[in-house]
Amino acid sequence: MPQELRPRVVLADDHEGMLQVFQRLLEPYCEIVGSVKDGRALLQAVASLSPDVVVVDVNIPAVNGIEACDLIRQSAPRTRVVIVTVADDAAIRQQAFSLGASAFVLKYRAADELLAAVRKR
Amino acid sequence: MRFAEGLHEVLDPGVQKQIFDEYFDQDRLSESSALVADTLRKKYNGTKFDVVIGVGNPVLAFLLSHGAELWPGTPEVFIFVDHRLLPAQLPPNTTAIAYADPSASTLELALQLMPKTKRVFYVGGSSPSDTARSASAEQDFKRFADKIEFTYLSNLPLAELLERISRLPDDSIVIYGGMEQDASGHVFIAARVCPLIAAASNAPVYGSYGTFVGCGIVGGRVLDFKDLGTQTGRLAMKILERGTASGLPVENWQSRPVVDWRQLQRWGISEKRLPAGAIVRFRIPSAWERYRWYVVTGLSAIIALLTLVIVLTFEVQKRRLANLEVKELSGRLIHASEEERKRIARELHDDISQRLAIVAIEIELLVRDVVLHQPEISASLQQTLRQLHEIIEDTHNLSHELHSARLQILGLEEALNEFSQQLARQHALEIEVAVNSVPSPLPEVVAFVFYRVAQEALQNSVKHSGSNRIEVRLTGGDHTLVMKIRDYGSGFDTSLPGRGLGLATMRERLKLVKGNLVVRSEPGGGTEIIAEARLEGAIKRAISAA
Repeated sequence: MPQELRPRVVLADDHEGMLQVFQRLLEPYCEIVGSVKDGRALLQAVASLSPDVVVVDVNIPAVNGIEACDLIRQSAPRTRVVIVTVADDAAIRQQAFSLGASAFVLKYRAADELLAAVRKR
Repeated sequence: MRFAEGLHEVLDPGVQKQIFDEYFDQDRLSESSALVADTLRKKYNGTKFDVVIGVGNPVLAFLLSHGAELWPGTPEVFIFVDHRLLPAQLPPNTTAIAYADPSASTLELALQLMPKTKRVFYVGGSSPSDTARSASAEQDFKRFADKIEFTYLSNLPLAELLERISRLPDDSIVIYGGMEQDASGHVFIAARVCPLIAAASNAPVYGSYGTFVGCGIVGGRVLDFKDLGTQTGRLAMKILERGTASGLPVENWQSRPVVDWRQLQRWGISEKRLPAGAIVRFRIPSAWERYRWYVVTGLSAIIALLTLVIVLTFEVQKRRLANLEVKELSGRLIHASEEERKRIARELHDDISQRLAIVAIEIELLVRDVVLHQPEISASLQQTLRQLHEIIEDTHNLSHELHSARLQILGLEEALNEFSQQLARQHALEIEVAVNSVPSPLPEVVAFVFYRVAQEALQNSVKHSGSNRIEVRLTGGDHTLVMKIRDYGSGFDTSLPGRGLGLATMRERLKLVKGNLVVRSEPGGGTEIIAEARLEGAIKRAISAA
């Protein structure tokens, strides 16, 4: 895959195993420029790395995924936000989209859906 | 009377006895002793006595002359006789109880009680006994002559005497020695004259015979006739046992200091001046002495009641504290149970669900690899995967039920909106949520408590009110957060029990954030639930915790 088509991705999840799985899923097609475990670290990573895509879990400490999405969309509008969650919640999903998330992916469907969500323009 | 009382007290009731009384009344009759002896001889001819008791000085004289002849061999006792009139040697088979005239010792007592006394008026009579007593007193008073002036009023008619003692000079006392006859020849009983003397005299009167005490005299060294009766009875018993009076010594009739309490008061004499062992008679008990038991009983009752009041107050206080503790405990229980639900929910959400999701991803990847080469395994794996998805959904639902992460992620306003809409959809009714100036961020515990109260209140409305419209107003002030939830349904009587547990739980939850709950409702008039909490402290705590 040509280098220019490999989006630069930052991963954010407080579950180590989950971070590793995401990395395995995305690595062949993306450049994982950072992986962090809480919202505050994510905001710093976005500011310093200017990733193309952020994959963030809804329920991470310090600043949660929805709040982080809101802040990132305002501070770095070019960075797309893919929200991941362990289980579906209509209210949260709706809120995520209304705050500018580009995708909302259930973790257990990540093998099927995550790559597409990351690549989606 | 008092003599007989004393006598019969000691005479052995087991001894069969017969007592013969004879009264000579010598002062009034002045019969010749030979005539009296003759009368008695005729009267008691042939009667054998065990003991003869002669009372008084005239009888002593009579028995010394005629006793042995009248009742030969019978023991004789002479009582109420002056020591000075007893012969140096008593006849055989006789004995006596004799007195020394106590006028002098009565004067001593009087001087002890009234040390300022300068004049003593001795009041007596004209009978031979009177004269003898008067002479004896005069003799005894000689030793006081240097400091006291003595006047003897013994030869006056009673009326004149009474008049005379009614105007005695200051610092005088009267010593009444007894009057059996006055100067005009009237015969009296000495004790009967005593009250007249005491009433007429303008000075305190003292006397030496028990029969005078209580008649208006202050008191004196008193010869008490009851004492004499007792003493005579004892001596008589002794003689009856021995069969003879020989060898029994002459006994003394002892005087005792006796005063009349009423007279002490009348003359302002302090009881402190009384000698040790003095007998105080006719004491009128003081109010304290009379009512002491009423007062003591009353006070005890009051003290008992006060103690009861204190104990009960203490118990009430204890109970109030216990109630507070119970309330606090129930609050803590709710809190603890919430904490536990939260912990389990987090465990399910943050760990179990994540791991299940990872397994799901791994299986999905596996399916991709095997799908081309081994389609039957692939189908089976797909089946497993579907089951796994179901488990993940169930786990999530369970976690959400235990403790929704939604509130934490979306905030109170969004969570309220979401819950209300869901409820409205389920029950086909209208729920309007209006949120105004709610500070952000809200402390997590406040948001949680209000969310839970709203859930409970909305569910109650849906279940009980029948209202098809519910309004939720969440309004923040400078330091407060107020939530009003109103329906237009059936309402209920707030004074009746029944809705207890739900409302109580809301109240307890609000207490966790120092808030309170107001319920307004009436049958047919809908229900309004108002939850209120102060934010200042809560926010400060939240900030300092962050």
